[in-house]
Amino acid sequence: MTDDQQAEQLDSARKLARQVSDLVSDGKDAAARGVFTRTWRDSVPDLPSRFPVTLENVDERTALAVARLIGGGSEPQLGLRRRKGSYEVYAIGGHHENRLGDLPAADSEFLIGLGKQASLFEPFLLQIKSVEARVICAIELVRAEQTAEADGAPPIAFQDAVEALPNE
Amino acid sequence: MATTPPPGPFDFDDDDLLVTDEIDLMDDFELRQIIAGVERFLGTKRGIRVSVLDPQQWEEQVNATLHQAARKQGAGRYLHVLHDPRDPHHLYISPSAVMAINQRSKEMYNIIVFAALRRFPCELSTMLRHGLDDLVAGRLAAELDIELFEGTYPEEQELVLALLRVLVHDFPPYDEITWALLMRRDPDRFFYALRQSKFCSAWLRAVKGDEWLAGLLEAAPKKRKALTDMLREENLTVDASLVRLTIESANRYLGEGEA
Repeated sequence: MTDDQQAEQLDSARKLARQVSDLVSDGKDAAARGVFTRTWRDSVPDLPSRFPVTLENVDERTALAVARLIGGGSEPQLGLRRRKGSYEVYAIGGHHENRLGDLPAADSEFLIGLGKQASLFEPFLLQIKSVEARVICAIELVRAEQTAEADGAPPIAFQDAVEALPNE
Repeated sequence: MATTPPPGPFDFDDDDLLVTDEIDLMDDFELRQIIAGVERFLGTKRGIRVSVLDPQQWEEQVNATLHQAARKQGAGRYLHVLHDPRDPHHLYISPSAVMAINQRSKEMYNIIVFAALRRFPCELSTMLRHGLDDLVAGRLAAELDIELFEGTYPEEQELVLALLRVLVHDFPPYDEITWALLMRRDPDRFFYALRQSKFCSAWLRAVKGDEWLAGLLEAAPKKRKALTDMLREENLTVDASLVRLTIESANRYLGEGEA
């Protein structure tokens, strides 16, 4: 990202934070949400740096095996692959890739929309737990080779705009 | 004779797998150290409450904060901290933020430190607080031995820095950070000191040169108080003539002092 692009992004974020704040102060909550929806993308880098995802249709056997391996001090590697119009996460064990679970539809669509850039994201395990005899598995998708310099300053002003939004 | 391949890491008997095998990799020790460092640095009596959310709780909180259209567009993927609408001193932290802090991510240090600064009690207007936070963040970075970006609000920062410098000039031996922390903790005392400074006379003269601002001050019985009150107003922006005049007159005053 060039200095000019970074300055533009920062300007957009500051402007957005100010507009949202002013509209909410005037009691125009719907207008504040509308401005945010229309312009927030100008205030942030093209791709998020990392975000958490709770997997769906978890393969309990794989999840528990991964939990057990980590508990024993090993570090199973996770991978991401496209299958039938969506993305699934697998764990590599020996020569096998064991399916761990599916990304939710919104996150699959996000990656599909990125095309080749989807391969920039790598899955890392966050949590495996059981709730009422059901295994829950969460990962985060982390953008590889992310650098602060490449992205410019982080969107603090974007965060300010979100804080100014009216409560849902 | 055929040999049996050695068992792979995923070759378990079903009986060996227990639902009690739970893993949580979100160690929030470093994150809490950062928050404690901010708290210590600011020296405020009241701190902030920090809740590290698990991925499901985080998703619920994002859904409660963002409206549906923004959620559908994926704005939530850019969020790492959220505030509790019922408690202004309570921060929610995403699991990704915890992981990133443990990896010493400059981006996440920035997000967490600024989010924490925003949550500490402060009676300044948004403009002054933004400028002050940028300045304080620079000193905090050195204190906590982390890297931060400091230029989110450069114009606001320029204004606050101008005020700090005239106070440093007029009231030795106190330094910029002493005045900055006073401005944050006790704005009334900070602006009282500003009114008592030699600079305030020069500032008042400069402002009276502006017809519109002079008109606003004319009716006020205490002009210096009225001037500092105008600078503290919530709806004042960096584009306001008062801000420009304040920075210009501070720079001129300091320049004359040096000469």
